[in-house]
Amino acid sequence: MPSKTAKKPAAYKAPSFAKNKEYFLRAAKVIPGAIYGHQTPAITVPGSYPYYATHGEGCYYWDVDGNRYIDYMCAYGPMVTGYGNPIVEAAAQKEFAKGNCYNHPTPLMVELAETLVDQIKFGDWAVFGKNGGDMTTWCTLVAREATGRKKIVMCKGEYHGIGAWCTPGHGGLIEEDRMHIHTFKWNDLAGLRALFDKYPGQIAGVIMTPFHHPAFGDSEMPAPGFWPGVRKLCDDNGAVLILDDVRVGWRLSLDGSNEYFGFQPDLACYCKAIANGYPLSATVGRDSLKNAAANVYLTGSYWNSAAPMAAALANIKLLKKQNGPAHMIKMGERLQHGLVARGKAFGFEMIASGPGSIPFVRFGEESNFMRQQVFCAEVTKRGHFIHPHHNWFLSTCHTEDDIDNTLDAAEEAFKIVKKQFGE
Amino acid sequence: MDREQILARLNLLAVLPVMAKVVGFDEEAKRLTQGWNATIQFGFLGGPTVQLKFDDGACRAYRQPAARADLSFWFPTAKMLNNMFSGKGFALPLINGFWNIKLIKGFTALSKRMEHYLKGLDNQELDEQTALRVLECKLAVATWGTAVLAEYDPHVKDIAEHIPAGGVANIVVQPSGPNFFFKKTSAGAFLAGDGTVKDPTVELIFSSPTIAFQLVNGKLDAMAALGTGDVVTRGYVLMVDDVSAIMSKIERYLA
Ligand SMILES: Cc1ncc(COP(=O)(O)O)c(C=O)c1O
Repeated sequence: MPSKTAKKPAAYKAPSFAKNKEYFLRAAKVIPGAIYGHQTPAITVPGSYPYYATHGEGCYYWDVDGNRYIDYMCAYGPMVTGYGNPIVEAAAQKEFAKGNCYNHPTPLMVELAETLVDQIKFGDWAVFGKNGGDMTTWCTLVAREATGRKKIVMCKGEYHGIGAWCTPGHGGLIEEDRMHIHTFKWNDLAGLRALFDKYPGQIAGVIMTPFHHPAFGDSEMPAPGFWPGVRKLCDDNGAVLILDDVRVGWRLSLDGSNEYFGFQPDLACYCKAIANGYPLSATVGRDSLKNAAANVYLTGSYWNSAAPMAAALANIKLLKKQNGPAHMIKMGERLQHGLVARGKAFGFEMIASGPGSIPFVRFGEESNFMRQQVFCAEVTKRGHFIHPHHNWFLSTCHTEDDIDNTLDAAEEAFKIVKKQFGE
Repeated sequence: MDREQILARLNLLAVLPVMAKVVGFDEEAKRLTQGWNATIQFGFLGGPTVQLKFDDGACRAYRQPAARADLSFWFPTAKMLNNMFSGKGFALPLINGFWNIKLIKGFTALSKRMEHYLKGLDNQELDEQTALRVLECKLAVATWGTAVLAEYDPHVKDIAEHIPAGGVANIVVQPSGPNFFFKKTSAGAFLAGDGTVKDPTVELIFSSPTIAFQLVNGKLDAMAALGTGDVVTRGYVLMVDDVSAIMSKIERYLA
C-alpha cells in the first residue's frame, strides 16, 4: 500500500488541453499529420498529453493551455542544463546579436573542435552538423570511403535518424535502400561474427549506440566482454567502428560514453547534450580516418553558424563545472528506485532499466504497454511529463524535491491503474 | 512471388469470402442463392483453394477446403483467375462433380452484388445501414488483404518481419462495429478474422463508422486523426504503424 511518509498531494484537477487541441486542428489543415515524427501525439497517449509548448525554465516547461510540467523528456534530450539557462543563453545571444550566419565559419568553430578533441580522448579531429542524423549518415559514408566497401552493420531496433538506410518509418523506401545494411541483435557477438563471416572483406562499418535503448522496450547494458568483442571483430576485419552517442553522449560521461564502458571507437557522433537546445551535432574521429573524412562532402546552409557553437562551448564548460552526468545519474536513480518501490506497494512489479540519466521504467508482466499508457498519462496530467514508450532524460536542473513530487504523483497514478486493471 | 500471384491470393483470400457477408445481409443475394445447397471452390495452380458453401440462402467461406466441391472454378494460372475477378472474362471452369449451368449463371449475378458493395457505391451518399455494410465489406478486404500481403508480398517483407510473433491487433469501429482482428501467429503466419480478440497486443479504435470509412477509402490522415481523438490506439502502437503501412499497399493491387 502507499508509503506512509508520502505527503498528501493537493487535490487533483484534470488539466485542460483545449488550446493544445485547437492548435492541433489548425495544424492538421496545413501540416501533414499535424505534428510529425517523434513528437507526434500518436506515440504518447493522445488526449492526455500536451501538443504545443510555449516556454520553459530550468527543468519545467509550460504548454499552450498554461499547464506546467516537470520535464523528464528534456525535449527528447537536447535540454541538459535547463531551459533558458542564463549562461548558455548569454553566449548564444551575443553571437545572434552580431550576425550568427556568415559566408565563413567563425573562430568559434576552431575553438569548439579543439575543445572536443581535448575532451574525447580517442578523437583527433571534429566536424559539425545540425542534427544527429546528419552525423550518423555522414559517418557511414566516411566508413565506405575509408574502406572502399559497401556494407554497414547495425543493431536491430536501434535508431540512427531518418536517412533511407536507417529510418524506422515505412513510407517512400525502396528495397535497394537497405541492400547493404545488415543487422544483428544487441549483445549477440556471435551474430556480429556471423555477419563478418558471411560478408568477408565487404563490411565498411559497424554503427551502434553505447547501450541498447529501443523504444517500446527495456534498455539493455552491454554484457561483459561485448564492447571489447565488437572492437576486436572490427579490427580483425578492417571495419570502422562508429559510436552513435547522439542520445547518450555526455549523460554518462563528459569524456564520451565509450570511456564509461571502456572501449575506443573510430568515429563518434554527438548531438543532444551539446548545446542545450541550440542546433548542433558533431563527429569526432581518429587521425587514420581524417583523409577519408575530408573526401566526404559535408555542409548545410546553417551548419557553421556561430550561436550554436558559442552555446556549445558555454554548455560544455557548465556541464564540467556541475559534474553534470553524476548529478543526472543520481537524480534518475532516485526516480527509478522510487517508482519501483511505490509500484511494489501497490502490488506492481515495475522494471527499471537504463542508467539514471537516461532511465526507463515500465510495468513488468505486460508486453502491450496498456497499464504503462494509463500510468504515464495520469502522471503527465499531474504535471510530470514522462513518456510511456521511450526512455526518459534527466537534466542538471532536476532536484530531489522535483523527483519526490513526481513520485507522489506516481502514487496517485498507480492507484488509478490498480482500479482499472487490478494487479 | 510476382504481382499476378499476389493479386490472385488477394482475390481468393481477401475478396471472395466477402461474398458470404453479402449473402448474409443483401436481400437480392439471398434470393439468388435460394435453394442452393452446394459447395463452390476456387483456385489456381500452386495457389490456395477457397470454398463457398451455400445452404439455401446462407453462405459460409472456407479459406481451406472443408468439403467436397460441387463446382470448381480452377485455373491453370493466377492471371486467368484474376481475369475472372476483374470481369475480363474467363474460360469455363473445370467441372468437379456435376455440371450446373444454373449455378454458374447465378454465381455471376451474385458476384455483381459483391462488387456493388465493394466498388459500386463509391462516392455516393449512403443511408446508415448501407454505409455500415459497405464498411464491413471493405474492412474485411482490408484486414484479410493485409494478412495476404504480409504473408506473400516481398515488398513488405521487412515490415511484416517487424510485427511481433503472436501479435494481435483489434480493429474496432465505435459504437457497434464492424470489428475485425489481424494476427501474426507465434509461428509467423498472418491471418485476420471477424470480431475482436481478448487481450490484444494493440487496439485501433475508430470513433465512428465515418472515420473508419476514411481509412478504407485511403482518405484518412491517421496521425492527425490520432491527435484529434477520431482514432484511438491502445497498447503496442508500433504494430498499428506496421499494419497500416501494409494495408496502404492493398490499393496498388486492387484499385
Ligand atoms: C541514438 C540516436 N541516433 C541518431 C538520432 C538522430 O538524431 P536527430 O534526430 O538529431 O537527427 C537520434 C535521435 O533521437 C538518436 O537517439
